[in-house]
Amino acid sequence: MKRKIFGCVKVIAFVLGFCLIFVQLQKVLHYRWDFHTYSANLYMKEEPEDAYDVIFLGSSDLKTAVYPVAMFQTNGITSFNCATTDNTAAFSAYYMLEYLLRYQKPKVVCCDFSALYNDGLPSDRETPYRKIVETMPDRDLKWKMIGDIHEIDPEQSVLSYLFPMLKYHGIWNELEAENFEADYVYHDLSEEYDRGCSLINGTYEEKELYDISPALWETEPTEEQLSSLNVEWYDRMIALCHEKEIQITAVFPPSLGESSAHAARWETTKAYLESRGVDIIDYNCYDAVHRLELNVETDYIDGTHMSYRGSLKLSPDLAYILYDRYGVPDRRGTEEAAQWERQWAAFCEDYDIEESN
Amino acid sequence: MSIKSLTFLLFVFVVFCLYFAVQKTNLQKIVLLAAGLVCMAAMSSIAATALVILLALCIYGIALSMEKLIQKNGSAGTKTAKNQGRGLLLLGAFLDIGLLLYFKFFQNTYVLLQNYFATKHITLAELVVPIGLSYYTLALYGYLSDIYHKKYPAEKSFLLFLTYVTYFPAIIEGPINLYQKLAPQFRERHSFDGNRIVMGLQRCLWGYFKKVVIADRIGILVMGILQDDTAVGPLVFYAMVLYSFQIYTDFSGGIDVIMGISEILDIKLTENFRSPLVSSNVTEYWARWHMSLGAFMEKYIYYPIALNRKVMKISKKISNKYLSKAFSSALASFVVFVIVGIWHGTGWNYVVYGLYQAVFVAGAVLLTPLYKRMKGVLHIDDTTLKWRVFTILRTFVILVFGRILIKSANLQQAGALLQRMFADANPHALFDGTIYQFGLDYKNVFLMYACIALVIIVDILHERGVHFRELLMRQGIVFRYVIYYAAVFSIIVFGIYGPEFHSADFIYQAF
Repeated sequence: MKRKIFGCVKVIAFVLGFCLIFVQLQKVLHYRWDFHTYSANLYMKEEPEDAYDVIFLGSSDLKTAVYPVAMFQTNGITSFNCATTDNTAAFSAYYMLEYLLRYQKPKVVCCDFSALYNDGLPSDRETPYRKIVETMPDRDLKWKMIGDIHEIDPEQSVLSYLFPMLKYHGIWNELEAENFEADYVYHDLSEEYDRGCSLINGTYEEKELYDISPALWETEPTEEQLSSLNVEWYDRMIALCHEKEIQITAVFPPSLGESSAHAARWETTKAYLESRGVDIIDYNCYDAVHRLELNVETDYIDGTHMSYRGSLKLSPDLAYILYDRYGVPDRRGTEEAAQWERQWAAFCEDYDIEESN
Repeated sequence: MSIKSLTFLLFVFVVFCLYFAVQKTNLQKIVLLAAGLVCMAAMSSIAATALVILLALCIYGIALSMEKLIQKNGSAGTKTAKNQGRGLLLLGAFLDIGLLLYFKFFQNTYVLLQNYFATKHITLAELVVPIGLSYYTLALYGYLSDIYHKKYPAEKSFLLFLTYVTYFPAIIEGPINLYQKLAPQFRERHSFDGNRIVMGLQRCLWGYFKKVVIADRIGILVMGILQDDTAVGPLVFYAMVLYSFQIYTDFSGGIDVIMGISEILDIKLTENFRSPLVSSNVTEYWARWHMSLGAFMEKYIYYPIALNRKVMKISKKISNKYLSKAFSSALASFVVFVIVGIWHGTGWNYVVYGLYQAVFVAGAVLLTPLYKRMKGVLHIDDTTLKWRVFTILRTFVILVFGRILIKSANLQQAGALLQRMFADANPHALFDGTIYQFGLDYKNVFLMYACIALVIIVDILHERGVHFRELLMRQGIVFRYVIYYAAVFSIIVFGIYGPEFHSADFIYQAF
């Protein structure tokens, strides 16, 4: 009997030791997503509940186009750009929103609906799914997401989402100092002035230079089908906003590289959004691009991503529309305004811009 | 269900739990039978499993009928009874080996014809292909032959017989288990023994390490080089050398997992490898590589041919005394290796592979006096370490060239590969960083070298009687746990698996 008990103790000790080592190794051997992705999640949790009146969700096109601090300068709108790079899944936008709404009470949610026509499964492109799961701080939401991903695509290994080391173990030969540091580090917000925006200090470097003229959007309408998978998740996102009485608006950034496709699908896109009661702010049209006086060479770094100069043109315009259409409060002169002002000053200093601009 | 998958590990765990839960009853063989049928259905299909059950039933019935005939007619037997017995043996062989030949040869031809002429394209996946066919069909033939030659009584219990045929670790990748060695163990009760289970798990760990960390890693580099037509000369030879290690660690790794599982179940299987890397000649290599296949061939092909009266008659007609004695042995070896070649695959390249091996093995038998004389003339002392190392390397190179045939899809590809190997003689590509362009960076390549060195050292030490598992069991618990954790986490961290890598199943699982 003693031998059996001792045997059981040895097994339990071994298993516990295994779990301990596994957990520690996993902290090192997993993929480090860009800090913005982690930070957006952290700020939402750590900031006061009414810190943000507007939230942006979507892909990298929106991430470079909207600069919240510039929007505050124009109309005192507090916002955060929660768009993520390489995001082609409505699933990610939905779960990002579900997480954000646990900690924030925005008045408006703006989404670029970038995945409406993308019919790929997680197996075709894992990044949008992995990113949102692996950077999700709330465990219950993480498990729910993993279950949903497996339902969408049974080929996706649940274990590799639960234990990312099983996917990323190959990283052992690329380890650097940052792999041994914690992922989730909340920086004092006063030190950060991007508020989720990718402020790219660059100029256009592509070979093909777009000629901004109405011809860029002239095309035959297409009968391209909406992605049933992504429509389902966008519908959930819209329903969640309606349930919480949050205004949901589609914001299409001026992605010149997508201008023709955007124009071709416009009727289908408009019909879908109007049927769901979603407002539209479309910058991907000649009128908007011409009004903003966007210059390809200085305001873009490629066909779809704006430089910080481009976002400084778009953001005030968007701020005014949001203020005018939805009465988003002007928080200039309030207690939190000082932090926004400091951040604007820090941004202007780093990017060598006159503050009055 | 792959042997590396979590599903398989969970399945094995459930089998262990059930197996030892019923250890005080006669139900253990039922657990093994159920496990075998489930495993076969999961790895092939239900139709394939049904086919194997049908085959087992036929062989079981034929064996019993043969035994009845023998019992009825006594040891002398009438000519009619003997012919009837032989007829039953042939019938059994036809069904058994015929099924193997059908799936190896005719099914491929059928599919090719269908795809060419028919509008509906049929894939092999749609056809019924039982897993492990090459292993238990040979074992069943051996059983029939033994019953015919009255080596032991025929099995009366069909359940036990089916358990023997479908014994789940062995159907995956062998070894070929002869009836009299494996089946009696299913009649015994096997109790839970902590030490034995730990030893079995150790062996499984070593097997998974060889397969997942070493073989699959080598496979990336080998595939990268061989698929790139610009890689020529020493790079191709280097790839084939690596392929030799890949195929060894892949196959022996799988066998170690199977043996480990069997050890946990307290079922002893035939060992399949005995440090083949230290072989001094091709004959010795085949005595150390895939030993269960060698044992089968020796018992059922080699000796029947070598001791056949007609062959002996031909031998006696040879004037040279030595050749007269060696002829039957050489002929038998030749036939054995042609069959071994065909057993590995269906194309002409496999036939040539068999012939290639046969030439060296049969040639060694016939030319022994010549080799002795040459060594005398050249004053070669074959007891020295230097000579041994030379013969090991020589054998290894011979086998590397032979493997070009089994690595290629057909003879043309093999010829093209050989041509690429000799297209350039500049070894610079092996040292100037070129090898890091074929899928593995320098860290992975060095890890690969370290693991290959580890396997060689383990083989050499095994050969010298050092048994690591027993050695490890004598150490303190802390030391043992450190080793176990190192092994487990080496597999998890350094293993080639998961969605990021293309996970190749065991090479020999295709047989």
